Amino acid sequence: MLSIKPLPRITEPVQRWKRFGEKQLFLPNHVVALLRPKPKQSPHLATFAVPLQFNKLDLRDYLHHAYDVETTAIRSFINQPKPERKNKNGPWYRPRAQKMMIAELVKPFVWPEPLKEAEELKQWDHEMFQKLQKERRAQAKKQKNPKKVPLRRALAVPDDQKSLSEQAKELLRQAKAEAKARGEKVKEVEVEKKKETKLDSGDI
Amino acid sequence: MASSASIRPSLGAAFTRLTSSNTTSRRIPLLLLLPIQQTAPLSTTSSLLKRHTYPGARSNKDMSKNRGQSALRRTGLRWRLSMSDEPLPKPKRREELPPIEVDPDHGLWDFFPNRETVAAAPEDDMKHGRAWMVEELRGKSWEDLHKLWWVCVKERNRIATAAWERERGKMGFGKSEAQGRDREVRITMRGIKHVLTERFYAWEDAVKLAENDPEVNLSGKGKAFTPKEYLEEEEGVAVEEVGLKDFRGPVGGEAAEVPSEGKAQGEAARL
Repeated sequence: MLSIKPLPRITEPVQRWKRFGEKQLFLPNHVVALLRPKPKQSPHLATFAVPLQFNKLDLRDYLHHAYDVETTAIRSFINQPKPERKNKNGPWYRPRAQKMMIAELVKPFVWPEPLKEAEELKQWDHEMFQKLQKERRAQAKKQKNPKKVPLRRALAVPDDQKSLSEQAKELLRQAKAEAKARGEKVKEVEVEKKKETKLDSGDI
Repeated sequence: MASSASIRPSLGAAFTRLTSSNTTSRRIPLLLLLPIQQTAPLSTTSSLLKRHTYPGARSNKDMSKNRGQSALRRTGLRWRLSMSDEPLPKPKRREELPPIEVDPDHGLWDFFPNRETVAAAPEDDMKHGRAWMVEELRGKSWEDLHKLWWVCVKERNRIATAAWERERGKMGFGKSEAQGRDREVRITMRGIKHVLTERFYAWEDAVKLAENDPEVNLSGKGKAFTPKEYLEEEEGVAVEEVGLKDFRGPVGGEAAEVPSEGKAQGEAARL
């Protein structure tokens, strides 16, 4: 049997950049946003949304000088959105693209867990936000195909309609109980009930 | 022909002798377990041994890659393999790994308005005053203005990070509050640029005036400013001095700082 050599230990990444840019920028006017990493992304990677004119070296120098964050390498890509139409039948246009960069960090950085609980999200009025979003989506869907009329049963039953039907049922129950007490008129009442229910459902 | 016929039986005998000597090895049971070596003393593929060296000769290589390999005869593989049957180590699961400790002074924390929630709540976003006014910024030095500019840049990055987090995580409302905050920051930045532009224009005018001023030496050698005697008899010089005084009035004590700031602003404007 051969003895296996132990694997080399994965060491901390070492900064490879030897030198930084020499051109001095006194008043840069760029907005750089740090984005939450994907669930299985390494803590040594940090994603940024950067202006389109940025390049890898720009971000490297920006992070080094403004934030004191050392990087070993930077990857970049551009998210190009799909063409859209202005208004409904307006001209086609392509929304502005968004440049993204992923920096490989020397020091790992783990994001705090995203907020999930309703109590925590109350500050942003999360419940109302969700309700509104849902309604807007439904409205957009309706506007997209106006010819498609949804079936009655697919629609939510209004509250007043519900209470009306409940009241009718209650009435019927009482009538049935009375009829049972009398014994002979049960059949007729049942017929009446059937009619009533039919009417009720027809109204809906 | 006759000679070949006479040779044949002897060759046959020789073959039988040779093969019979080899059969002894087959009787050993231990050797049966091992891969069997080629036992024939002569090559049975004589055609392959022929050398064809003349130009345009057919290729002489063995076209059957698996020649001589047999599972029944336990020959083993023809080629040496570059792997072993040692068990490979299994990687650990992500959950089993020790948690990563984040440096509390990590530079990326500066992107967050709030370390716990990442995005600032609209209520906190609303807690801001008005922007710096140009009148207030006029009295500040270049160092102060530069620092304030970077504070504004970082604040805008923070607002942008919070906006991405809020929208991607579908956290809720707060866009208009963040935009209001961002607007104030941008007004401050505009004020800084305004003040620096004013200073640059003042510096340009001062250079123009200094070119015709005998008291100012723009050559870069010797003393830059040599004031003349307070009381001057000559009329022409007195008039020039009065003109300079009138100009200096509004600029005030900044005159000494103006050139360096102007240069810096010039560079910044180009970028």
